[in-house]
Amino acid sequence: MFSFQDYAAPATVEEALALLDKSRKNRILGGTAWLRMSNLKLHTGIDLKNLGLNSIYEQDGALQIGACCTLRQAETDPLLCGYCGGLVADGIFNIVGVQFRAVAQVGASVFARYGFSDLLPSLLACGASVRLAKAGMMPLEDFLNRPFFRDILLEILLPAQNGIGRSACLRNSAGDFALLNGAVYLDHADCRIAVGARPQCAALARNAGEFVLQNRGSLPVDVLAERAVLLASEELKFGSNMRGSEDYRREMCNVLMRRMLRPLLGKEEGH
Amino acid sequence: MIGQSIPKLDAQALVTGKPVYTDDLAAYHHALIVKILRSPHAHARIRSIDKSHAEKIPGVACILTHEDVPHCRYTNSGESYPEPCPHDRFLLEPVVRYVGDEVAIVAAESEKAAARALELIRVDYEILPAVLDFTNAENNPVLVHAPNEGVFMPDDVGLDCAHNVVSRHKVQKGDLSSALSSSDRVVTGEFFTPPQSHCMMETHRSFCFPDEFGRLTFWTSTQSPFHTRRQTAAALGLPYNRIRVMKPRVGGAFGGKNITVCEPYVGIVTLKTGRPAKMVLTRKETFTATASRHEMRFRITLGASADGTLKAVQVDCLNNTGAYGEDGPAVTMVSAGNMLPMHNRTDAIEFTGTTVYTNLLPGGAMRGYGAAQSTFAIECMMDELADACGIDPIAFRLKNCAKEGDTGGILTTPIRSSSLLRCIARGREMIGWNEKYPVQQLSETRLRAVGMAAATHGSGVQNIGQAAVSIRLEEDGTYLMRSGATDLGTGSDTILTQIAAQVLNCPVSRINTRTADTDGPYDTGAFASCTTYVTGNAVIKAAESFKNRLFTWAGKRMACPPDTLVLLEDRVAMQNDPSRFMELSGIGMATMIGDNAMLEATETYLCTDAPNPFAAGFAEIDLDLETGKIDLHQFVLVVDCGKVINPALARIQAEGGVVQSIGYALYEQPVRDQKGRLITDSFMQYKIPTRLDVRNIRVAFEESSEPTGPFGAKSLGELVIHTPAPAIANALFHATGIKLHELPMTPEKVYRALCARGLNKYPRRVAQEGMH
Amino acid sequence: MLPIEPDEYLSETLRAAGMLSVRRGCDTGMCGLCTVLVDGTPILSCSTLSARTDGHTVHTLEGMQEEASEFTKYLTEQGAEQCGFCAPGFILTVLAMKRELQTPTEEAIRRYLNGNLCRCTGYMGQMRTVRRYMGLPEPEVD
Repeated sequence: MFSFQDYAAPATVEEALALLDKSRKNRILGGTAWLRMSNLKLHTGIDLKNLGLNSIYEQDGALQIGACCTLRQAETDPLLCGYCGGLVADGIFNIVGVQFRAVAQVGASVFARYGFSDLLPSLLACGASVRLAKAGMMPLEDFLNRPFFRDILLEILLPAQNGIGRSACLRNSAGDFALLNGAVYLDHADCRIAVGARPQCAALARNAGEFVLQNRGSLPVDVLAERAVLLASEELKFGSNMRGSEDYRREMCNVLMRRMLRPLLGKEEGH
Repeated sequence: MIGQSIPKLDAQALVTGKPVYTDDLAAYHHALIVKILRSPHAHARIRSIDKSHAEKIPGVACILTHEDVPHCRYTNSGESYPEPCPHDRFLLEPVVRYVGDEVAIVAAESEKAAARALELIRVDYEILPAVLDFTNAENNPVLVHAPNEGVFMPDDVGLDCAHNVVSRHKVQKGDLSSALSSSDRVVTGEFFTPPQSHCMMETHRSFCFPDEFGRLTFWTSTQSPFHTRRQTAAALGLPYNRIRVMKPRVGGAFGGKNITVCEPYVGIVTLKTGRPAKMVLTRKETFTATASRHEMRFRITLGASADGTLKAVQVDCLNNTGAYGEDGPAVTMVSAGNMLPMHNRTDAIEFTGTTVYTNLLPGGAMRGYGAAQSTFAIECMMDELADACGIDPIAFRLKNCAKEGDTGGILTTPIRSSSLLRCIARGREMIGWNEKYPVQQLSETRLRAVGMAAATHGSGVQNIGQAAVSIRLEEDGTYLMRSGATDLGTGSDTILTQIAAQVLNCPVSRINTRTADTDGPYDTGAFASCTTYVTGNAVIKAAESFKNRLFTWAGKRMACPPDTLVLLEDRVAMQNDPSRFMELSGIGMATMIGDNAMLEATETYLCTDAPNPFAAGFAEIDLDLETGKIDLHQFVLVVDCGKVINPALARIQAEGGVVQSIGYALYEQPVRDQKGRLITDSFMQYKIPTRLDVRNIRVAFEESSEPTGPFGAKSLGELVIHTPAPAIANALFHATGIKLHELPMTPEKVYRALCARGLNKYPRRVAQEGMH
Repeated sequence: MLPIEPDEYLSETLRAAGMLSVRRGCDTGMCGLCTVLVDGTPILSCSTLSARTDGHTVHTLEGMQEEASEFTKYLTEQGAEQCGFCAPGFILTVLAMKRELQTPTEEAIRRYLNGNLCRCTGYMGQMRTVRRYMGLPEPEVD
């Protein structure tokens, strides 16, 4: 049974860090929806609610999402809904239910690097960065590739850009975790293709993205899309679990990514 | 009253959130919290248990191991008596037989203290080899129950512990081999139907306290209070009359609470401590340590003549009943008994069934009770046989299905009512079968197809299902009706009251209905779809008997023959002269308080027939040829349950059953690891249908009139779960020729089948066109 | 004022305070039975620390009877409450949805309510009730 002895709601980031560093049995409390299912016995649960991290705001076209924003906030926020065609907001409705999303926090979701996350592919496709209390700012992709380290995630930053993105998923049933998900972002200068629930954590298919940028305009849109996603399914690793086998995921990567990429390319070309 | 969609009598309490469930009734009793230490191994002997550290946790009231409890054999199954269930359990024993089996009982003042104590109990297990595959359980050298340890079956149907066999069953008519050899078309198939978790919203729970006479009194979430009392008495070595069981409102059951899971454990704690105790299973425990639908394998051979006349039906069933026998034998029997009547017109039938033990979660009663599984298998085969004969699947059903008037053969009840033909015709029209069969191409990557299935079930358990009902006139001229029936949220309290109100010619508001108390009249409980049929008939019998007493008494007072009187809403009056009457309130006061004549009637109904209801289900699916995903575009169910007593409630029952079957068909999948542990132990891992998964379920009723049923009614509750899975499989068959004989039909399974037939799109195309 | 443990969850606190309409249906935050309204927003009380609700307004069904009466009347007319165990969480979510979404589409309704599981009814009766409450017509099926 999950339990902790003390509850603290520090007033500054420094205080929060000090509490975190004080003991390995101290932890940041995100939504605690996931923490609650564990058998951890902590000393101090640290609530970040007084650090002003629960809003989403825009600065020069870039969006900053505070770590304590709930998934529900992210899903319904007008700024985020309008960002790059709704790329980030769109996929969130798949996650369990509104009352779960009103508890789960964006920062904790990202920090935990869940393989099944419906948020991470979209954030990667956006080219998001994260700001941590100790480690500072870094691209989300770098954060996900680093081994786990103790820190406090403060904000997620989405760059100013005006392309369009899409997210999509495959699920055995509507209430389930995705057996595969992903997101694609496209503008005149960038193409980012991210695949998640592999079942491993989301990753960018860099070769695929590069391929699109290099061959755009010189290949028919159908062929461009098909070859790009085939590259994605080859460059990324997949695995088997209860929801699907490695082979199925790899083959479905082709289907899912193409279903997102093809219309985006077509839109661009005016088809 | 009959045929009226009145709201449930408990509706207001439920929609205002009143505390009417087991855990609510326990809330202010300062009850000890009871938790169970469970085995992490599929098969092990307990060498020793050390509870000394756990006992020191503040707040722990007692910890009981197998050394501290009575050593009495029992079964936890809520069946009738004598049960065709092996008495193969002890409350606790030094052997554990599945991951989740009970090892020790902890009672503490708080959940935290109990949880901490569980962590500190030290158990030394000798791990034993386990039987984890039911297809090689029979004759396996590893035995789940040793043959010389006193396991017995009151109604023995083939118990053979030395071979891991719990029962053997055979049904036959005609000469199978000659029927098969004279068939022009023969099809065979092997099917696997998985377990299914009930996922009722209220987990199992029980609350026990000693009453003022020292009797163990339970408020418990159960389907059968009388059987619960009997099993608990057996487990604790107590006489029945020292136990009282009452059922409050229940948050769903679907068969899962037809077992005595919690009661003996809270009971023993109350016995030992003298204190109230409650046990509320976590969702994980409900998944892993109660029961699930029996996993089965069917091997079916069907034969027909070229014109599509069914001639031979051969079914072999292997039933995995898990570590304890419980309902296993009965489920095997019912997989035949509630499926074969549909095919009784065939020349020859042979059904063989074997129930085996394994070191896995016990199989338990779940809506459909074997017939859901066997109907899936046989309805898929019927389509394949129709196809082999080149005959439309509906035409095939119409030609061969059971019809009103059928009798003999393997039927134990003649079919005195059936509107199945109308059900099929109506469903066919509602889904647009003629325009849609077999398949349409929606786009390059999507197909749309239709499929159907027909099903039957029973109403109650023949010669076993019994209910008693009492009706009494109160001082104010209203009625008190008492019965043992168990309303699980289905609305049976309301339906029985409607039936009584019909006979008593009054609105339901004049009847107080009290049910499900072992200090009240007996009822077999809510299973086998018996409540409306069996208890409904008992209600009619009791109400008629009551009226006789009433008219006899009133006739004397009014100086007229009893048979000239009629019962109106609030009075007894002369049929031909309504100005001569006596008010019921006057009669009630007179007879309750004086006159040596309290007006109460108690009658018992034993069900001597178990009439068959019928249904036809039609599925329209969309198939994604690139992913293998089946989306159910529409499902139509047309039901013959005789007379529909409450159409609104009947519709909800039907819709609910259909959706449970959709989950079973497409994505509900219990998964075990290599060591027999169930890893789908939460709603996170085991997915039931959500609101985004199911749309467009349409239910209609084609009434017939069952002469033996209360106002012509037959059962409904389980019948409705039989058709969706086979109808969906048949739609897939029509779309692609794929014969998917294993549930659930997940996208990956369908995709692999598409690939094998060269029907999948895209990835193969890319591969074929080459790269770079 | 209620004394609470630091790691106590809202569902426990509410039940201990007599709000027995708040129910626990699962261990993993999936079922929605424990839904209550915090400042009008539906949240899982099983996954919300009571300490975090300090200073906020919490509503359970006990406190929303009047607002719920129209919807629950329609629900009981359909017989769609069935066992009733999922009803309080579901009803509160519907009330919050009506306030928040005003005139949603069928799809928006399904998405909003998707976190409220029901095993008895198959959702059809509940959806008929919600459509009536929200003023939506019954959908056509082709």
